[in-house]
Amino acid sequence: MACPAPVLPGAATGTPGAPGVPVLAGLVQPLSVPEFLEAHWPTTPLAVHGPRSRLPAPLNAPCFDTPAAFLSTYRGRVLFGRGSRGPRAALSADADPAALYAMGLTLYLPDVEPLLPESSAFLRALEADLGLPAHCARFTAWASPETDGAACHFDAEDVFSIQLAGRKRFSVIERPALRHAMGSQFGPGIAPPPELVHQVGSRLPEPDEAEFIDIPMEPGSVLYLPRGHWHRTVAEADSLSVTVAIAAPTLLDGLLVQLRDTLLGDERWRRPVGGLPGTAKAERAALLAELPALVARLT
Amino acid sequence: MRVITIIAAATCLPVAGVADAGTPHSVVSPAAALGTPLRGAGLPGGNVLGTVIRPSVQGTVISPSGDWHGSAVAPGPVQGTVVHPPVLGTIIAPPGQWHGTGIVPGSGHDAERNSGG
Repeated sequence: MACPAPVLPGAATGTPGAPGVPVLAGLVQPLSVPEFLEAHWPTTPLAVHGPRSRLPAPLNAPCFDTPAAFLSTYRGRVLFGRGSRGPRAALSADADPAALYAMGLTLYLPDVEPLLPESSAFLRALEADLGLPAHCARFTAWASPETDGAACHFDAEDVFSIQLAGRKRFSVIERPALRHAMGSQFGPGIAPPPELVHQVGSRLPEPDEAEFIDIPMEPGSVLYLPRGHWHRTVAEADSLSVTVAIAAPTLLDGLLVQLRDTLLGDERWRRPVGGLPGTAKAERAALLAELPALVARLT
Repeated sequence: MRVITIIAAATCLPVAGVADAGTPHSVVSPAAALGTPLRGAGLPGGNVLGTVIRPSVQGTVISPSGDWHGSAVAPGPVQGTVVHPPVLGTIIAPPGQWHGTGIVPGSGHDAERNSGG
């Protein structure tokens, strides 16, 4: 079931994806897109506030007016937990989200896009505004009953959190716990992902050492939070927000793809390991000696 | 938070290592063959014992409270037992082999990237 078309007058800053209508401008105003890209992306959080009606059209769909309206429409997977007590959560493909919400649980709802026919154009336009390849952004939603929210963590994706109904307090840090974090999210009570060990140096980040700033989120508030920033939330009234999560490829991702594609052309790199002891190791050493020249030719 | 990294390499000897509290630590093993015992000690009071049940394994071993298990992508799993929790550990195979991630039983956090809040 798709959401009905938006009915609020003046709801859109433009048709998402239409030529010359940057979706990003509708999220970060009063900043301009160049101002946002210069001062914030991809390092510095930004919070802007204003009426929900100023936001791009998909965010004004009537199904987002209340948590109850959205949960009665939503069909998809539900990750549920009680964030006020910790990060543990469980995923269900067939649970009734309204029932879980009524039990006082916070819900993370990843399958929002089928509800919004305009979401694909919105996301592609946003990616273009940010200078990113297509299909690295996605729509998700969070619903939290009053007093619950999300446990403290940082993400390995860049996030636009857009408050659509109710009130929620985001507590965030201005400086990242791990700049440009890669892999997956981490926080107290969350198993450290293998990639994290290689990024943190001598010790894992601890939120207890960070100074948090409270950001009250009301309908129309937008928070841009780059990856690697500690944050936690608590709903001050039944809350519904959407998150545009952006898994932007990194410079490392690009390098590894290009390097692999290059090395695939050399049969010596395609040799399976194993065989007589030391044989593969000797061949690998010879190939490594040639690498600097190959790397120098990468673009 | 304590992390111990156990790296299994190329021959067939057991490995043991000690990690300082709060400090990721690497222990390089000369062993990753079938039946090879792996052991790492985290401080304070955290020990893990595991056995490679297929060669060249990589997995993450995490247990705040007891037995652990790690899931392998290919070619096979690693299994073991935490003998003194709490232990956080990573077992990493040589380049070119497989890798997998361990899970805390009952946690759904790995099931979805629930970014935001």
